[in-house]
Amino acid sequence: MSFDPTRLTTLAAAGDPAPLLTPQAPQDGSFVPNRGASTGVDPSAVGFHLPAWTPLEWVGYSAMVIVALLLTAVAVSTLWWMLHAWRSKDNLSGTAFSENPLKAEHTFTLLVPGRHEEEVMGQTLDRLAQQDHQGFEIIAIVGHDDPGTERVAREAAARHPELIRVIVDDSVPKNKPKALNLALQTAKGEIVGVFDAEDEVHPRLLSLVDSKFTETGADVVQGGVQLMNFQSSWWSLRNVLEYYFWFRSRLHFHAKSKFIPLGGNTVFVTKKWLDWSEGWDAGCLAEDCELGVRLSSAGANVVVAYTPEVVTREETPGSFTSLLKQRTRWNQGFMQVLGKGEWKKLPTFRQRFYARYLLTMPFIQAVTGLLIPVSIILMLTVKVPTGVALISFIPLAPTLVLLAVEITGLAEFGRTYGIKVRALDYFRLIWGLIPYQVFLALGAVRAVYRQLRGQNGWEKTEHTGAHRDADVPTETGATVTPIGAGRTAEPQPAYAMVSGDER
Amino acid sequence: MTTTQERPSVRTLRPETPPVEVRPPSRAGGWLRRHAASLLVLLPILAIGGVVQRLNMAGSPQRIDDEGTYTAQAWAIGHLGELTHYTYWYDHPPLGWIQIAGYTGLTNAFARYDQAVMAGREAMLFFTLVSAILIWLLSRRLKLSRAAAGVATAVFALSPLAVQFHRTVYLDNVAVPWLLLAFLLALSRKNQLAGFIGSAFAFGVAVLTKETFLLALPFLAWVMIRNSDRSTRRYTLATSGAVLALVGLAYVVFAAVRGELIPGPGHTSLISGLSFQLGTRDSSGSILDTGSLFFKVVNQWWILDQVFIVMGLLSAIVGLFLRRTRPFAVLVLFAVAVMFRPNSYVPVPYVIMLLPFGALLVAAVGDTAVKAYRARRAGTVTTSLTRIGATAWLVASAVAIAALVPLWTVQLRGFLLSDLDQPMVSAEQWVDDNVPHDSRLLVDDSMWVDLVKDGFAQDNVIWFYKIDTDGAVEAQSPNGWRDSDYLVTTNSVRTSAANSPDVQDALKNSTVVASFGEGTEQVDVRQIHPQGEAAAKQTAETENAAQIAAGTEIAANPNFTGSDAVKKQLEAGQLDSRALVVLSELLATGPVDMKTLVPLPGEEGLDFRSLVITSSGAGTPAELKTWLTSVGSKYAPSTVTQTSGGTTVVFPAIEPSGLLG
Repeated sequence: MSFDPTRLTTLAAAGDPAPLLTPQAPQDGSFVPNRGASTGVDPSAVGFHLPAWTPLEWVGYSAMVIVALLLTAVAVSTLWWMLHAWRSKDNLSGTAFSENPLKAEHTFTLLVPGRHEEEVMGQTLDRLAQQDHQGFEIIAIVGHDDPGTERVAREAAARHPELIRVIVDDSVPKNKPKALNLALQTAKGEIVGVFDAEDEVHPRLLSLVDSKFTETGADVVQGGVQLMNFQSSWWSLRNVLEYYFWFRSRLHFHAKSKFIPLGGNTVFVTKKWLDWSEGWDAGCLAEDCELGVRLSSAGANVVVAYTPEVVTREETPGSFTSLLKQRTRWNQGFMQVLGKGEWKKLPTFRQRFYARYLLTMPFIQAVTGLLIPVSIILMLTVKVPTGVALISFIPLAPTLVLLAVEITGLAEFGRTYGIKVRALDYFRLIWGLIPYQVFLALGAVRAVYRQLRGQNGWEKTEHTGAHRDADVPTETGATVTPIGAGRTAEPQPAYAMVSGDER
Repeated sequence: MTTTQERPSVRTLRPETPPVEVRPPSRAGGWLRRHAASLLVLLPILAIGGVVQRLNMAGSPQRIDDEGTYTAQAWAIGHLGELTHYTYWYDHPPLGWIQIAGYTGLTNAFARYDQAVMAGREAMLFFTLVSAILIWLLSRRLKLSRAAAGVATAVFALSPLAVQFHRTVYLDNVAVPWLLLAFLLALSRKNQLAGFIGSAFAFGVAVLTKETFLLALPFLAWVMIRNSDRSTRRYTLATSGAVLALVGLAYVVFAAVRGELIPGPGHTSLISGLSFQLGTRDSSGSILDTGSLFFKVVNQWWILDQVFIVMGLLSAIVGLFLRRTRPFAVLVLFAVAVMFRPNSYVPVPYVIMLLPFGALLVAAVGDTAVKAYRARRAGTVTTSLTRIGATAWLVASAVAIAALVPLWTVQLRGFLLSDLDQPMVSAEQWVDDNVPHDSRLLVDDSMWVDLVKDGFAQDNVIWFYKIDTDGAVEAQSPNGWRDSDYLVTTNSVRTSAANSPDVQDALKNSTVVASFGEGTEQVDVRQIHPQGEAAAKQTAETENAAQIAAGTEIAANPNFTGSDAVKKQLEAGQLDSRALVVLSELLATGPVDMKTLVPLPGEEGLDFRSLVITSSGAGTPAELKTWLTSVGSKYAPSTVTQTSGGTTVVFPAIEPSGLLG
């Protein structure tokens, strides 16, 4: 006897319950709940995946990334070497000549080849003769077909008969290494120094160099050379800064890494080593660099010293064209040195790497210079993935730091040499960055072209004497003793070795 | 083969190589020997600091919304291949969570924790330890004694104020080591060029990690200029300045490459992100107004460690007069002054940047006082000012230590023992267990990754902040809050609701279906009623009336037995509708006994959906279970378990409405 006290039980049967009321969502038409377009985390989508690029895109993007990273490496290494001297206080003070030179212990022979330089050579010889060192001789080398220069040199020799000898070079065709080798045969000093006919040499330089040889036991001492006329034009500004960073800073790095291309003048080599090297390579367009490479490879101890007061002052080539010719000659010389392969004898891999890198540098620089604008254009016109685009921007970073360093260098240069740097100069420095890269590229391309055509002759480099401008600092406020005062500011032909095919 | 071959040398003048000496010890051994004294002080401090930060890291403090955001963004980098889990809008530079992602990616930290934020906290431990080492190095570079450097490191690692903030996943914690590295490198003596470039780079990274660190720039520049050698100064400063500018520029380029530099329709932009941070942040109010955000923020710091705050500020003032600490003292005082400027916005983690410098100053001033005191004992001539000053400072330090011991003990005990995050963990678990996984949820960001990992669709787990600030989210929810089914509220959600109409509406038109914890730690799971508050209330009232009617009938059923308490609960309509239906069905088969109803965790005050019954009509307990599981999907219990007291029947949490007339 069961009864049914609960009404609900009548409404649903166990196992098949029907709703008591049909649940109804209120429909006022005001909204439709949105549940579409949900993407859950697809387990296969978790983690990193290779982007879905076409093979062409893969190649293109990879190339962009590789080029960007290479450019960055080149720019960073250039920048770091350029800043080498200022890495630390000790490093900077180590780059200078000593403040209190030791007693002179060596004898010197100074070689001064001159060609069509009667305007400057006399004064250069006179000034060299004023060196405060006690044991040195000067040999002026002139061509047999250049009576003007020969006359000037002989007059100077007459004024300083105990110091100056004149040697006439009658070889054909003429070039600087031939002239130097000729003079070397009669050089009597323990150490042989080279100067160009237009160089302004500080009278204390020999004493300082002598001391440096004694202090360091060096086999080679490379002194500083400085172009001065940065206000002449936009390219002279950049050329001056190139020299400044090269001699002030970077060359010290190369000396430390025991592979160094030497400069063309203010370079001092022991006679013993020059006898070993049989002088300079007369067949090389960059005989100075070549000698440096051979000496480095043989383990000679090369010391670089730069003290702003005693640098040898020079000027940039007189025209853009002669700058281009000069650069072409250097680049061709670098190619010859690279091809000659003396650097392969360097003892360590590191040194060989530096040698190869340095000697290839003009061409790397050419590529770099051209790729930077190209990459900017690419970046603005081609749509690439964010990551690739960001990587392709990386080379710009060291380039901009480079610009900041150059600005600093220009300011420092002006302060050191007592020349006021105008706003215009800074402006030129900045806008000249890309055009100068293009110029460097041009120089490299031209060198390759000429080398392939077998044109290995010397091209003329003109000098205007702008570094001897009247605008040199006076005693007050200037950190540098003026040594060029009183010389003519007129454009002068300077030492130039000209090959037949270029005349 | 140990002989070195002499290269044939053309020269004879070169000095001979020195005779071969005793083979030097291995580099590592030599390093250890030279630094043994330092390591003996530093390593124990690092170990203790690390343990204090790591132990109960997941328990205290309760995780907050920001932590979830940075963690989710780091997670998005590794798991979604995106910079953020929402549209990146330039609120902060992304470098901070990229670094967190780096840590979690390298150590696989996300796999180690059920709560993703804890992986972020582990990353914080790493960054804090690095910072602690850098504080040691910085102290030593400033010529503090080992003991003083140890004090600086220990205060940084162990102050309760520091522990609280170091545990929390803040970008500031990631930026601090970079800032300290920047100062350390700015003080380099050898290789200054490389040091300064490194310093500028590290500072750039710090700023791109947390933009507020830009505040330290003048002081870094000051330290750098003061430390720079005259002869190389122009180059070192120009180069490092350029590097810093470039790192900053990288962020601009990054935005430009993405086409997001300048504001425009349909995309976020760097400019608008910056103007948000600089322009639109509301003032935090005044310190004098105890209700203001400013007061709350500062009060929180104050409660955590008054002693450190007082000593830190005093040290900063004294540090002004000591040459070696001056830039750091000015930095701290300047940062404090910035905080108190009119209409300032004080971010909660603002204090993080000050912690290392406060610790450093406390130690440095103490070190100076000790040295002055010793110099006097040693009979060195001293001025009366230094004599009195040193003594006064040592007395003050002693008082501070006396006050510090009980304060730190109490606070650190709390950090090591209390589990404030439990409500969050429980709420997450509850949602995973009870909320249908095709639901759309509005949540605190600190649960985001966990819920997505639990299987909710990524687009259906919506960080509440984005519901009306992110175009992509708005497009998916054209009806705003109505398109979501649940809202999980935390303290962040409750306090931020005022700024978001959608969240406010969702709050108003929702009812609690589970609640965990209390006070500021309370976490509620709320069901949103898209038809609106009034309709929902009406439905609930109707439902409740039906529940009362049905409950009363069951209580009166002669087949039903139970305590008076159970009958009262039934008559009050507190039993779940499905339970009522099933119970009445079961009563038709025979007598049913029911134990007093107990709420499930988090469901106090809500309808009971768990009941313990014994029924003779349905047969054996096993037969009862079969009967219960075959009542049909609408009424089916989620679990039926047999215990000694009877059969426990639990119905799913979300109760369909309208089951009872």
